Amino acid sequence: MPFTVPKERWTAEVQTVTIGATEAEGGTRTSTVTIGGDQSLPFLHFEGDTPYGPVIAVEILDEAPQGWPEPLAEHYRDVWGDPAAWAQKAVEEFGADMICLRLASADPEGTDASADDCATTIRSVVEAVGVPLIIWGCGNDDKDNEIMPFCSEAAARERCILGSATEGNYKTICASALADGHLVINESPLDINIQKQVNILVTDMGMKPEDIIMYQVTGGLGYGVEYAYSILERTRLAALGGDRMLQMPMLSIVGSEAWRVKEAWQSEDEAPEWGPLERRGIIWEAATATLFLHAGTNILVMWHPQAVSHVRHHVAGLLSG
Amino acid sequence: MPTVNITFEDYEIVAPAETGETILEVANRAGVRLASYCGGRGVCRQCEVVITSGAVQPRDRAHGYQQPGPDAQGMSVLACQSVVTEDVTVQIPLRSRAEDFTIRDTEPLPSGLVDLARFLPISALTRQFVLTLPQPSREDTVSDLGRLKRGLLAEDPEVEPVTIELPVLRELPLSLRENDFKVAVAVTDSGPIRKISAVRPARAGQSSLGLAIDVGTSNVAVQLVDLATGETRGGGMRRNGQIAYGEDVISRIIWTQQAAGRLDQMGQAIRATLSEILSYLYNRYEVAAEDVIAVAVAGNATMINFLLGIDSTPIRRSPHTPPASALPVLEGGKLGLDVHPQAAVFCQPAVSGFVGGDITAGVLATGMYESEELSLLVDVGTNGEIVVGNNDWLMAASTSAGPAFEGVGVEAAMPAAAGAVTNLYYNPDKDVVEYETIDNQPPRGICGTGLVEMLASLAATGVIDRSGNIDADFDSPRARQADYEPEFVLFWPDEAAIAEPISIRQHDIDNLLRSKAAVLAGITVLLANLDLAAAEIERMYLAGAFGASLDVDKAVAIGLLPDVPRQRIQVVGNSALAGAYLALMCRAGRREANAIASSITYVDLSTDVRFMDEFVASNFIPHTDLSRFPSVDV
Amino acid sequence: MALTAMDIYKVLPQTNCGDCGVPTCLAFAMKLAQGQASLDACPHVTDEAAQALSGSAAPPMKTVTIGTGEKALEIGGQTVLFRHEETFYHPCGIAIQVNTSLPQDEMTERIATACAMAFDRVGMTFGLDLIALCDDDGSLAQKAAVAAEVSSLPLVLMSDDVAAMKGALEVCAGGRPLICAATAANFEEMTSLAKQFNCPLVIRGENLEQLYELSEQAIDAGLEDLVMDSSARDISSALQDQTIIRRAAIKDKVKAFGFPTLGFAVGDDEIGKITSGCELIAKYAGILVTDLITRDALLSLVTARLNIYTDPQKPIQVESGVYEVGEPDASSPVLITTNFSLTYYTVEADTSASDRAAWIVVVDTEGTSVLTAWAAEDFTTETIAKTIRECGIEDKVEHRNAVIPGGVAVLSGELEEESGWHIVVGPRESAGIPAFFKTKYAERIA
Repeated sequence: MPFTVPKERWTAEVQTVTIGATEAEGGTRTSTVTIGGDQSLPFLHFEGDTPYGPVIAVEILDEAPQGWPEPLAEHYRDVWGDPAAWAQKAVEEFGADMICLRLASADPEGTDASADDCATTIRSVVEAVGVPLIIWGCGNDDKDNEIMPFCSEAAARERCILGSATEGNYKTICASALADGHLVINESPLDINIQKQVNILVTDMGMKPEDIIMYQVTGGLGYGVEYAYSILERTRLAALGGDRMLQMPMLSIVGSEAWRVKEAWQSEDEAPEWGPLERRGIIWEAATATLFLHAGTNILVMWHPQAVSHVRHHVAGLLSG
Repeated sequence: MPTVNITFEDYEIVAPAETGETILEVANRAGVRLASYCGGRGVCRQCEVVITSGAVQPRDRAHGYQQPGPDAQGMSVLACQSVVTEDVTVQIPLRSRAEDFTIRDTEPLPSGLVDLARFLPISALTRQFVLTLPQPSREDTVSDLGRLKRGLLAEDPEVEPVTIELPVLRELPLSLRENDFKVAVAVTDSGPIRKISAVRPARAGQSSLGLAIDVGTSNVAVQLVDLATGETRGGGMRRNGQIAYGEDVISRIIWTQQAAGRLDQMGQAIRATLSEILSYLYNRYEVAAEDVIAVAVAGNATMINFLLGIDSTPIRRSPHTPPASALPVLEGGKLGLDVHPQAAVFCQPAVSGFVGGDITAGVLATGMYESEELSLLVDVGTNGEIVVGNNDWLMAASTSAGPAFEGVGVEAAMPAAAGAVTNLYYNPDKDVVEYETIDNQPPRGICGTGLVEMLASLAATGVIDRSGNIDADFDSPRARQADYEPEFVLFWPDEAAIAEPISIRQHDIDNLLRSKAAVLAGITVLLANLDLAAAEIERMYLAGAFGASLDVDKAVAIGLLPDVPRQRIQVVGNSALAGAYLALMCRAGRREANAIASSITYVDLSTDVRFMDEFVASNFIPHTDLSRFPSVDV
Repeated sequence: MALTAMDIYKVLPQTNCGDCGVPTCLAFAMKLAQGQASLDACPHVTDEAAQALSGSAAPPMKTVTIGTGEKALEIGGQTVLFRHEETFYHPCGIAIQVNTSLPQDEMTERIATACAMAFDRVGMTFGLDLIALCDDDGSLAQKAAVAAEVSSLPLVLMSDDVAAMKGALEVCAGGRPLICAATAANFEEMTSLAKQFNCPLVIRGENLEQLYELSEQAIDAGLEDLVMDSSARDISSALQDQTIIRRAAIKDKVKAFGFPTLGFAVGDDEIGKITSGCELIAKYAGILVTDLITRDALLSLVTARLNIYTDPQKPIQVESGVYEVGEPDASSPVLITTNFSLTYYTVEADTSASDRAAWIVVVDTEGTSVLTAWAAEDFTTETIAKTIRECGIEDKVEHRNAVIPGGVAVLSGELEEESGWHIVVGPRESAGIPAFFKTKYAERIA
């Protein structure tokens, strides 16, 4: 009896989404990014097409970060404090497909920057780079609701991704996205059902599925990857199985999650059994990203330039063949 | 001790108190019922009162006592932690008033569920035979007991085998002779043999009465039944007095574990509740406790344990085993019930620690165990119990739905009594809430049925989103920010029977959604155990907190029940009480109940990994998977 | 297809006699369907029923044992394609490649390093599993004895040369090494060696079709302990082949593919090999062969393996201990919650939304939410007080106020006595935390 390759007959595919708007589309981006369209589990070419592979967004902060470990800080110290320069470096030197700008300075516990300040930062980054943007608030619901309309407007018609809508706080950000022609990130706490709830609530607001990116709060390798992995995998299975409310592309935060883990930053003196420090963070970030890729993520938000280049290489290998 | 006076101004009651007593103690004595779920330990913070004149002091080792700070209305303190040393005037805010413990009439037993023809011949738990026996003579020297048996067998040969216990035998010779051998004999069906349980004088028009009782975690209901005919004289119900020791069975079990003597106290609480309902019924229907000679009780395993004085700790702990499934027939007097001391007490057998005799009773009453149809019984009480099956097999599970639909933990809720809103519809164009209430009284609160309609209406109009979030910016003055959370005003003071607006707050909505999610997820996961889907259910019985006026469309629209064709759904009311009634009246009913309990397969949802997933997916209106709700328009 | 509980129930006696230890026949059928009971437990089952039920029991993938004794490695035995469906059993074995061409002292040092490598995680120690002795100079037969001597781990003998393999087996077959590999060219000889020495055998096809044929032949020849290698040596084809083999075994019950697989970490540099290794760990390799030997690299692979092979059906948990929200100091509030991750993250998010730095003390409740844990006696005065004492919070704050969830307010009195802390009853719902901090917290603290 000859062997026949077991192929799944999926009924649907991941939603195709384009981020960024060029001049012809009313924006000023010099390039756009298209993701999704996957017709199979990740990279299974015998089964279906992967028309657009996953992409990498490099995350930058709008103020100088605190306490970054040296192997990471050394690449960014010259530009932090200047988000436009940071974004330029990430694109030009490290080849970021997108910039993920986190408005950390808005945090009321920290600098407590005003909506105007944030909008100014956004304008400067929009001008500095031609790639599409992800704009993420500071994580404080009230403050984000206050600044996001201004930030959104500052990048109007650029078709950015705004982060993030949660089950309890989605109206302001959706209204902004709808008004200014952006996409929105729907965030959920490691729960496929809550993810779906947010997606439904946000589409009930009038957002189209092709304007939505899903994000599950996660952890780095060794600290929660095992749960995120299966939730991403289940989400991809649901998408292929025809669940329209789980067909949006997925985003994974890799950089901050990987570098937060003590394996990534603890010195060799403190933890000799883990080997030399120089590469550990890079390895941790690359390994975390790899697992997310194989679980089906579409956008990786990363930090370290070498991790970015290794993961890009891995993706290229998966897409060939 | 010097005496001071506490004036409860809302009730126009002036209660004397000794210095050093807490306000809560005095209030309890004066019949002013304050909400309190922690036994006066200062932790549930339900009994907040406002001191409008005079001053109070914190008690010794006061816990959670708030230093009273002057404000516009007075000073807010916890009644249980504040002792009086001088005359004070106390105001009791609505939120601090206790559950309404008044007794109300029950609805008639659901007629479809109490068809005695299913169990012919009728053979009550205790039957009364009025006998005129021949006097002993030289020709007829048969013993007293033999004489009695002979008389009984002449009436009904099936009474054999029959026996008698010593206390009754002791009184027999005198009783027969004092009454010229004209006696009313009570014969109890205590399993394979019968037992002569009482021999009393035969009086003209003497009735033999029985009680069908449903001891629910939140509500206790009693039906007074004529044992000879099966006719019901009437029924009464009220909140279970044990609520003061916890809203749910787990809280109550824990409460009993915390100090010696508390198991007794818990038993006293249910006896007191029953006693109040019984004296109401006896007065109203002019019957004597002596004439009540049989009782059938349905209740979850913990409620039965408390009634019987059995420790429930094992029910709390995995694997949650009850002390006994089928219990022997007991004596009313020994349980402290206000009935004939030898009255027989039959308890519906339990399936497991969390699927009790109330559910066995419901299965008995619906007859689902005899039908080929795949049937589902959902009993929404403080727990949601679910039974699925047919004449081949039965499977059951319990889900901690919480008492939200019974009105506990939802501020605007109330039991189904006069003034309770049963139907509710919000019209956003006119910004009015259209409603119906029981007895057409002005609205005082919303009962379970009304809560379902309210959720459906608020969701349909966008006042709440599908996650249940109240839209505080909704275009109506009814939607507003309350103290710490958004609320929606259902009735303004001019519409309502009370001086404050009746409104629903965010946490109320959250509670209701969790309740309904637990029920729906329980159904889904129980069915999934046998690879069944809700659409395959041919008949669905909804029992418990909901009245017959429940619009099943709305129950499906909010995702309390799965989406099946509506004609398959039957709202059956108190099926536990109906089952207790059947067991009270029919020998076959009692036998079937025992058979049902031992054939039901219990499934522990708390160890089923799918449950949490389904629960979250169901914590949404109606569900995150809309393909399961094809008939619901969202 | 596995039989459903209802299928099984139909052939059981349906007497609910309870002799099997389960109260009802349906409950017993459900246990059988889930593989949690054996039909032997029922003394009343008929022969026909036993017959009808026996067919469904065969596992779709063989479990293969390499090595002997304490360090023996079991691989395979998988039952699902996706770990959320059940769990992945028998974690992927990590084999460290050691070439025979290395000078003997380097070779033995490398083996010793690999054998000694261990990492502590979640209270357990994780190490490597196999030494893959790779014959790159034809000296396998000579080096095998040394390797077997030095290595505490079982060996994989990698050579296509029959004579070399035979020589090696003659000195170390007692340790039950994995023979790698039988190919189309050496099939007869290698399979007879595997039989002769009773060792597990890798079957290598040039592609899936050839692998399938060779595997069928090996089964026909009576071999049972096989490991599959499709010759995929790039990350893309490895992913395709590993997936196809696993899927054919699990979903289609293809017997020839019902064995664990072997994969190679490939890449231009070390990090490339790490990402390749992560791929193979996630996507189905039974054995991962790698020449990585540095601690930082292997730490990541061992961690990835631990993550992927964690049972996902266990509730998602966070570790018990003290967590920071914002940058708390000695006066920041202390909140107590359970280690169910959804509970914890909700509390964390709501606390963080309150604009207030705080400490969260997480009590181990085996991943259950506050009320469930409380009901099951996992979240009690004792467990909370113990956690407060042992987690180190008492050194981090100067005050002694702990906020407990409103749902377990009843615990507060005893908890105060047990812990010595002043217990503040917080809101029932985590969503109430911001409002609680704005108003009631200040009133209620000692």
